Amino acid sequence: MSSNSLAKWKGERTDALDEIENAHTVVGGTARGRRYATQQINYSYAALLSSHFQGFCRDLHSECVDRIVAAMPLKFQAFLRAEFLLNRALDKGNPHPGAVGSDFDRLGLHFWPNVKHLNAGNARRSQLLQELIDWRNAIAHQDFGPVGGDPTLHLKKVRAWRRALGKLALEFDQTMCNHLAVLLGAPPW
Amino acid sequence: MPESKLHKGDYVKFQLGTRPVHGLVREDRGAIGINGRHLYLVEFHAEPTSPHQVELPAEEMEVLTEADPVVGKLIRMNKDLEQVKHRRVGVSGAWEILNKFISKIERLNNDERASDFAINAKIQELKHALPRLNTGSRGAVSYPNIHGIRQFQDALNLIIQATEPQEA
Repeated sequence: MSSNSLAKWKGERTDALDEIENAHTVVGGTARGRRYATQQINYSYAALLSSHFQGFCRDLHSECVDRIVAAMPLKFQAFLRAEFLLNRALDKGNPHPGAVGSDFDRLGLHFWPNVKHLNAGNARRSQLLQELIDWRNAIAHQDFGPVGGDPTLHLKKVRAWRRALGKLALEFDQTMCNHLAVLLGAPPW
Repeated sequence: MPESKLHKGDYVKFQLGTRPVHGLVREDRGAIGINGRHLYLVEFHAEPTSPHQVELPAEEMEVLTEADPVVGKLIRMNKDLEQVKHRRVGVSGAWEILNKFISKIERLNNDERASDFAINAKIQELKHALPRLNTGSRGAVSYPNIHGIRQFQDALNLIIQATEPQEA
């Protein structure tokens, strides 16, 4: 079993990312301008990957809040829901590790230490997440200084980010499942 | 998978602790709740300052309809604004709707269920904004610009949220 948010990540979000991956393949050949076109697709791919991962994290946070709040008396539920959403970083900015950690920490756990404890590779994956966010910002602001000054973004790099985020999505789902199982007395999914 | 029961733009009423409040559905967040129920992002004004947001399942909300005497008038006014937004009325009809909008709001402001803080400020804001919606040159009357219509709708949303809900 997995969360509804992870199912959505594996379903419609993966489909959307596959579409842009396919677009890269379609822009084939050796004609002049191909390199420019694929570069723009790689930029779009990175930006879309960041936004879908943000969507996944936001969904998972909302799903966990729904579980926690459902265990409260009815009269407390609406304003507790509002409090959990107040200044949620994932509603406003990029899903950089700091934002993800601060939002999930509000649900009563040390989020990143728990994620890293699940799998030693997650420390590296969180660095890759930060790298993606730095590139996403560089693309959005057309300022490549913070990513080393070279604006060339290869498909291989975007694919590596996608693999890392796919694994992180599974680990986030498992971390929150473990936490809610302790908190609520039974696994939520 | 459970179906969506509410839609973006629906006006709703829900309990915030012991207090009933009005809100506006801003987004269907999808089937991410318990047992795949849909959660909805709802904007509401718990105080005169900036809006707050909450994600609620459909069963914790009641959709506001035109049956409510005060809110019903506001919902009908929003429908009129939609006519202008989608250019379903002519230029003169559009301006007539916008002018009537302000006078209708002023009349509604006398209703004891309306909260003055939001409405008075918004009426003044809209009165100032109205002439700027005409972008026609040399005195020609143009169709009200879309940004201005959104401003009217934002004001209406705020007023509906500020209108004191009736206890069930």
